[in-house]
Amino acid sequence: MDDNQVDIFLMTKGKYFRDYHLMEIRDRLKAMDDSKRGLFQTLQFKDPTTILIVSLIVGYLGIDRFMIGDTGLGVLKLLTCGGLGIWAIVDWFLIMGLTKDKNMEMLKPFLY
Amino acid sequence: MPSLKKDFYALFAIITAAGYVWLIHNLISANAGTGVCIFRHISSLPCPSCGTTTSVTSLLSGNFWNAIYSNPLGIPVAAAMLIIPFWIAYDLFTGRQTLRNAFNKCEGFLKKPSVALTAIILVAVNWIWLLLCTAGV
Repeated sequence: MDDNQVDIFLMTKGKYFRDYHLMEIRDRLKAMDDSKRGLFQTLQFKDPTTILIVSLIVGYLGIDRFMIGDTGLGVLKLLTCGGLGIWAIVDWFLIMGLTKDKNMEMLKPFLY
Repeated sequence: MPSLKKDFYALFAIITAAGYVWLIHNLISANAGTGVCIFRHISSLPCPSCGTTTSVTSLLSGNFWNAIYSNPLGIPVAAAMLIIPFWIAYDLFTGRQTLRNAFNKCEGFLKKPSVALTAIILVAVNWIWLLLCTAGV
């Protein structure tokens, strides 16, 4: 990918990733093969802010965990009523970082 | 065991231990039945998993139908609480990761659209049932 496309990607999608991953993403995207571009552009990242709002409102039902793809933990959270409320509160602080990690996991096959 | 695996087992051990502490608290405390459900406190309506503690305590006293009536989800929860400590101990002593593997398989199974839809419908039906019971219908 050329520099302009990479910069536009980082400007529009940078908030979906952890800060310390951005340089790595930038370097890898510049070196990315054009054959991967078609699939890469269809990727749909999860917005950490949206997930945080979901977590604040219905996090004790595990909906936030279901949304980021942690189905098993979502079921556990649902059955334990958000881990007696404690897990739900802990997730308010963790869920944005977890969402960014999941986005990075989604991006990794295209970077390496 | 790699640290991620340790985290997984630690999480399961903590959840199960918390479950037993909560169950014992409900069995011996004078405040038995005091819920921690935020949804119930805010809306005075039960959430999909409200009644699980009552269901498990009913099962312990041998009252199966009361357990079903309180919340059918209490039965898988009671089964999990019974099995998981032994499963964790088994994996800890043998160094295997059978619980982790089973969890991953279940997660993969639940991610299938048809299974996910069925699970969502079942939870929704269970919730409607709980709401109707609360409303006294």
